Amino acid sequence: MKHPTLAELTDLERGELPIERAREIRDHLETCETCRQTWEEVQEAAGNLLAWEDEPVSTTFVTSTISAIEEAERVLAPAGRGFGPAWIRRIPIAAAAVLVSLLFQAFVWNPLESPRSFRAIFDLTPEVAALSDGTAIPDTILVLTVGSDGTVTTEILGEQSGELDELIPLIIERSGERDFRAVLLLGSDPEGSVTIDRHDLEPLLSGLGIEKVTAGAGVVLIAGRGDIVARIGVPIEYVVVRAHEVGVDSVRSIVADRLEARAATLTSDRVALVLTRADSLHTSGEFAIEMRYDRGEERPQVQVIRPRLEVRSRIESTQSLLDSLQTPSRLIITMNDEGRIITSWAVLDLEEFRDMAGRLTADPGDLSILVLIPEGEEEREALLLEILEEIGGDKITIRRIKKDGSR
Amino acid sequence: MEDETLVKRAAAGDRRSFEILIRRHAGAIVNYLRRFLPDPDDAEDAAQDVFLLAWRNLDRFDPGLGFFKNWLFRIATNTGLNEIKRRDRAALREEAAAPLIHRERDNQHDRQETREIGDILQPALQSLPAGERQIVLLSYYHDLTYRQISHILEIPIGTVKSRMHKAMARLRDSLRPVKEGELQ
Repeated sequence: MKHPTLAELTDLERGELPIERAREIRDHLETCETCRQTWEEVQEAAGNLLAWEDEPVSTTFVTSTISAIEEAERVLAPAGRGFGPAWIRRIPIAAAAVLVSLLFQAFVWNPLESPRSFRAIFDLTPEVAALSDGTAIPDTILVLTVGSDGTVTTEILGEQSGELDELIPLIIERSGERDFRAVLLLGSDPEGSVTIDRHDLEPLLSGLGIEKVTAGAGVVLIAGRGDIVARIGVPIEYVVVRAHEVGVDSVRSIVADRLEARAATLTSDRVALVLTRADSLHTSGEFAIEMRYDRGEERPQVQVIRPRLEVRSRIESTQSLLDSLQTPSRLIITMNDEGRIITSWAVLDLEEFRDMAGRLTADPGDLSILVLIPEGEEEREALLLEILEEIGGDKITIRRIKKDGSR
Repeated sequence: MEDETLVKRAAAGDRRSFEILIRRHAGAIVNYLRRFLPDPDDAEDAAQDVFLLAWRNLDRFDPGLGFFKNWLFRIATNTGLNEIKRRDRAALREEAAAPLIHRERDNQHDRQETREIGDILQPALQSLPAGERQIVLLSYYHDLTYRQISHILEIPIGTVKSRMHKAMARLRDSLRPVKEGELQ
């Protein structure tokens, strides 16, 4: 009989081998001195692990945990109609417009995994958090503002600004005292979209110790027309939207509420709203939308004027999907009418996607990909799967999810 | 009373039921985190976060997908990984090499001084990548099968196996001094 491998001996010790193979190995161990020695070492290691007894939990643990829950509940107690607790409405709502860019993919993808530094926001705001000005932004977020000429400014550089690639070493050098977990990129180019994309940010993310860009890895992705600061001339209000919990209608309502609160001082009639979740299951597909409102109305009428992207695949049965999405290493993709690949953080051409996916599969055991394809789009599905197979072969797990949420 | 019944009551707002769940599972979660986190002293704080998150998300728990305790382990794993990432990032910004050397020296010193099994196992476990460490802990200390671990961590069972095999190979090497008599 072939000598058992160390892996098999480990499985044997854990009771995870098929009965027949376990019997063969046990018989083999009777006669093979070398294997028996290895087996004894495996058992020794296991025995040491098992001999490590639990220590008692402190006597105050349960009561302090219950107190913490009560405190959280007290803070969260509803204070009337609105999309957030009372403290939000007490904040002088600084901006007329809302640039929703945001987010921490881990935050959005996995509410169980919100980083501790954001806990305050997360706990206080089951749906939406508003930060009234720059000082309220958690200091774990590095905010970069891109000017119309492409220059970048950020508060840790003081008055200094310049091209991103020139500034990156300086930003990293000056970030020593901060624990940045995410980068928020704001644009102020009145004519076009932000020209810096994820690839430009990679050296910065790497230098700050923010891990590779995968859904759920804690990296912010950001996009958006950035005319808010320039045209409105008031501080930006940042809004964190847990995109999987709010649909387009409720976002519209949120924006209307904000505008209503600021109606007297608004100077612009346009709001840019960017949701980074292309696959956001409750957003009816809009990836990024621009809104216009009419200040003449008693209540601002928010109207979507430019859906930049439409994701046709809308999954009706979301809960099972959401449950299954709670992993930092899962990627959801779909394809739009133009044949572009839509991920949770970007819309990519095929070549870009090949490049990105190739890098993502560096640790293939950890990655699975969920493909959302509308019914009746077999051709698109086939093309997408062909690309995935070409990229990952058998190294990645591909799951197809039907419209009803089944697999 | 079974966990699932208590969870239903807790989800309906019965805090007393949730308190029973905390009492029932605090030991497992705290000790899991003590072994998983680089600093065992952080375990109770992290465990408190785990129960807070569980309370906030009780409506998301689906008994059809597994036991409540396993769901807690999933939350604890995510919480632990976040804490480790936070620490890693902070450590990167310090003079990385020197503190690590000191830590290793300290560990060796501790081993010689205390000769208690936890003092030997803790650094051995911490020397494993987090992905391997969590599987060893769930397998040995919580007696979960590869399939259950696969479900908790939402990774393929093949990944569970390969990580377990690598981890045990490493542990076998690092625990050899124990076999040779360091542990009394």
